[in-house]
Amino acid sequence: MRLVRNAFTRLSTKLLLLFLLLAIIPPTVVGYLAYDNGRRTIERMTLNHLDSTSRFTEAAFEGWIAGNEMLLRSLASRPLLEEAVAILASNDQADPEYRAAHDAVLREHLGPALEEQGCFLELAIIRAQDGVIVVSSDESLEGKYRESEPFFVEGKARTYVGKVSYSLSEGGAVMHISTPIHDERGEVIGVLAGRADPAEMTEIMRAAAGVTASEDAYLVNTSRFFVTEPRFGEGFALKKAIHTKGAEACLEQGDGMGMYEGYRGVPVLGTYRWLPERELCILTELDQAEASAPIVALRNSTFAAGAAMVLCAASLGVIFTRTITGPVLQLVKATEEIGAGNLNYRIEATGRDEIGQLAAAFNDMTGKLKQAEGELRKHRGHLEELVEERAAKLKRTNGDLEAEIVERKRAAEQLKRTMADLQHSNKELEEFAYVASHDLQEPLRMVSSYTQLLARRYQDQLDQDAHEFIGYAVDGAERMRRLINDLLTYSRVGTRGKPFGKTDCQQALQDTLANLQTAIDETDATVTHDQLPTVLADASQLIQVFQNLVSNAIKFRGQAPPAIHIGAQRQDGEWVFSVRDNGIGIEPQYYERIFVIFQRLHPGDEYPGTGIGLAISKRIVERHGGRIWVESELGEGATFYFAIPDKEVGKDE
Amino acid sequence: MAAVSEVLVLVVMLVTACGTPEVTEPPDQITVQLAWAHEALFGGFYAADQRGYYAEEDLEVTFLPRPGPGSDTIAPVLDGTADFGLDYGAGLVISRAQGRPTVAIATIYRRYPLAFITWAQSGITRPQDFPGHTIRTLTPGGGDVAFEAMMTRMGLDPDSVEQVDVGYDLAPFFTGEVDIWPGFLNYDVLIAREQGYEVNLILPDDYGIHLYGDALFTTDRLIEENPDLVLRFLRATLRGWQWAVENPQEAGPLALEYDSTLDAALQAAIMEASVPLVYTGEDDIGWMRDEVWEGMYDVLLEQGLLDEPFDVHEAYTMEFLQEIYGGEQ
Repeated sequence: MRLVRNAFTRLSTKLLLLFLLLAIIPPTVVGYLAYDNGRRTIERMTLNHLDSTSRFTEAAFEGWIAGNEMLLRSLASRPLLEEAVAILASNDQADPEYRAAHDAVLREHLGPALEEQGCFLELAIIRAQDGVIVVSSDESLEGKYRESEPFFVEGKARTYVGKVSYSLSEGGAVMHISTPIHDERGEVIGVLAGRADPAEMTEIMRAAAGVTASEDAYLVNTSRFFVTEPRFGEGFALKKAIHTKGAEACLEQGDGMGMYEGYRGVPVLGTYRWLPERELCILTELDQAEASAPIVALRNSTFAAGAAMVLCAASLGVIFTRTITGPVLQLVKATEEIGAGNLNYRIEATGRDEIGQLAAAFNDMTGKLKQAEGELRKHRGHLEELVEERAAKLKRTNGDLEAEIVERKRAAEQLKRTMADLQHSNKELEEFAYVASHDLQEPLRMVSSYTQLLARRYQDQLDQDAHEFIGYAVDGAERMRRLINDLLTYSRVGTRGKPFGKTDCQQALQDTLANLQTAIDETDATVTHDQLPTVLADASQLIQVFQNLVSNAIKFRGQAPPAIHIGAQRQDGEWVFSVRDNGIGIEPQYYERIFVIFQRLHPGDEYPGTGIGLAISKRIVERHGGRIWVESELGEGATFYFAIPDKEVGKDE
Repeated sequence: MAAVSEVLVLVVMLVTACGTPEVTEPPDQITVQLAWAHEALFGGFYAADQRGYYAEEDLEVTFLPRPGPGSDTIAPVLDGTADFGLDYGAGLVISRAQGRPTVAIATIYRRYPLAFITWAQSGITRPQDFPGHTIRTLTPGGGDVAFEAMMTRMGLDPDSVEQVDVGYDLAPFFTGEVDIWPGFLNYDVLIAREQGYEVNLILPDDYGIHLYGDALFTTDRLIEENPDLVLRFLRATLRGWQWAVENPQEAGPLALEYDSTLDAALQAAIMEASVPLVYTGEDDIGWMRDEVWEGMYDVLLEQGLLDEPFDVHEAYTMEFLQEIYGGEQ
């Protein structure tokens, strides 16, 4: 029993685990797939977005540079500026013409350009021969040398875009763009240099990005330092280096995209583009947290829903296991108790479910069991007495029965003997009847023929009375002869019958009707019949039966011409033939009598006959193992039936 | 539980054993001769030391502060007191020209940190304004080369400016006793501004004199005998400087580890001011350009500070920088 209980405890655990698994696995799998798919889609979309931001920002940056270059070139190619610079290049500073040229350049060219365009923080003209700033919108810079600065050295030859670098003179990060100034002969006499505002570069970067909460774009130089201020940092330009994988990859390989830890130490999605002409990297980044916020929200809600489901399933599991295995355990305990003989044990009432019903049924059963046990005990004594009494009675009855059996055996023995005697006497009787009737015919014929001879020879001598008396004698003898013949016929049915053979009843009826043709014609009778079967019978006797019945039907006709129908029906293993007529009918009290030999219902002169026909018919039918009977109403015609067992033709005999 | 504990002990033993599979050699002892007293000026070295970059290169580094402004920082390296030293670029060109086997391996202060400071209201804004004014005594590495070269380059007579020996304290400048103060951008200028003075900065770089500030040097012999040690030391040092440039507020106070009398806030400010001199946005930290060395040589030759011409490229080597940063810049 302990094992059983353990088994149920295990069942509880299994049920609980099953509930939990069912609750955990589907949401986990679905949730993970959705999350993973969503995350990848979002990553791809985000990277594509960042890439386009990157391209857009690059275009904006290059556009800004190109605009600045164009402005410088158009300014540098102004003939008036060239003339003035030529003066500044060749004349001494003390020369009044120099001063005038200086002022003119500043007032008419550099000043308006700065005001109108607003692209540069400062514009300066550097003398080609020694690198001295001869004119600057920032007067404090005039007279300073820029002879080794790349924007001067390179700017003498072409329009040059410098690196963003730190200038002690200007006290901060600067970026110079420069272009040569030629004199009328085409000689380079100076360099027009513009100090671009790095803050504008930062603005360009931030304009393209920065639509969402964390999107960022910034430039990084080959030393991995920020060139523009990133969105989440001030004073980073040239002060902070960046050690992210994105920046490294960009400096090593050029363009690309990926997921890595951004400069703030948070995971980002990033794209990077290498700008070879500027020797700068442009990085666009978006916090992975922001990119995946919707999918994380999905994940979290899925997780929350999953957790809720798990909780529900766990609770349900606990409840189910309690409601199922708890009562089952109770039942087990109850079984143990009752098994141990404690019929007073009852299960505590539980719910209305099957288990509850089971418990109730169990309680009910226990109750009934107890009640039954009481009654059983009570009745046991009585029952024992009863049994003893019955046994005694039975014993007595048994004795009686044995006696009766002996008696019955004896009776059966007696019956058998009687039957044998009867059969024997019957046989003898038949033999006697035959012999008697046969032997009686001779004396009778003598009586008859001599009486007739007497009447013929002594016709004249005998008076009227004598003739009458002779007539009676002849008639009597005649009747006597017929009776004897009939009796002979009757006895022959048993003693002279032929063996049974296949007999076509149809043919038998045809023969019958042929024999009776005269009577049929005389009475204008109509004879119809069903299709008749072939049966196993004595054909001549069958014809005799038909002949007796049909001739009776004609004989006992009513006023109307006789209408006779011969039918045959198979029922219950026998053929039932019927001969129906429209004759005078028979009263029910005579139904049996008419089949007795020499019984007549009518006077001989009214309906001739000896009253032997139906007796013979009965005897023939019985010889075939069948029956014969009549159904009729007086004046309504009669129907004679006889049934012959339908032994399988050709099988017997 | 006993079994679990045993397993844990075993695991711990195994892990510990795996962690120290080989007996490490004692780290190489390195001594560095600094170019000044302990100050945040050397924040990158301090960072490399205290952040374990030297230890990662299996080095144990000792720093020697400069005893005084006039003392030679090259001699201790040559005599083996130190393995590496710091001196300004022009000083190393001169040293090499004198036949001393010094070789610069990187320049820490790529911008010359010295400026000629004047009061804003003094009207002295450029070298042309100098004649007739007074200047604090110029010392080697303390602006002598820069001053003379700049004046000469501008066609001015250096002697037209009177040199006044007032020591290194800024007080005489504030009182007006001296008009022109050769001061460091990452110290004197900070102090002056902190005291509320508005100052003009006349930079040698604006007048065609391009000198390197403190460069890290060693000897031909060490490079020849133990180039790996040089490489490791330089690599760790540049890492320290990279970190210091990015984190000046933290790097500055590291100096207190070597001189606890220093003021943390001032050290942070010094480090902050040093950043643009160390990382200029042009090249990697420590990088050196031939044209600058050549320019220094020209200036010194022009000034008659070199006894005889020599190949200035002997005075420095790019070998280790190229090894660290990879290739030409």
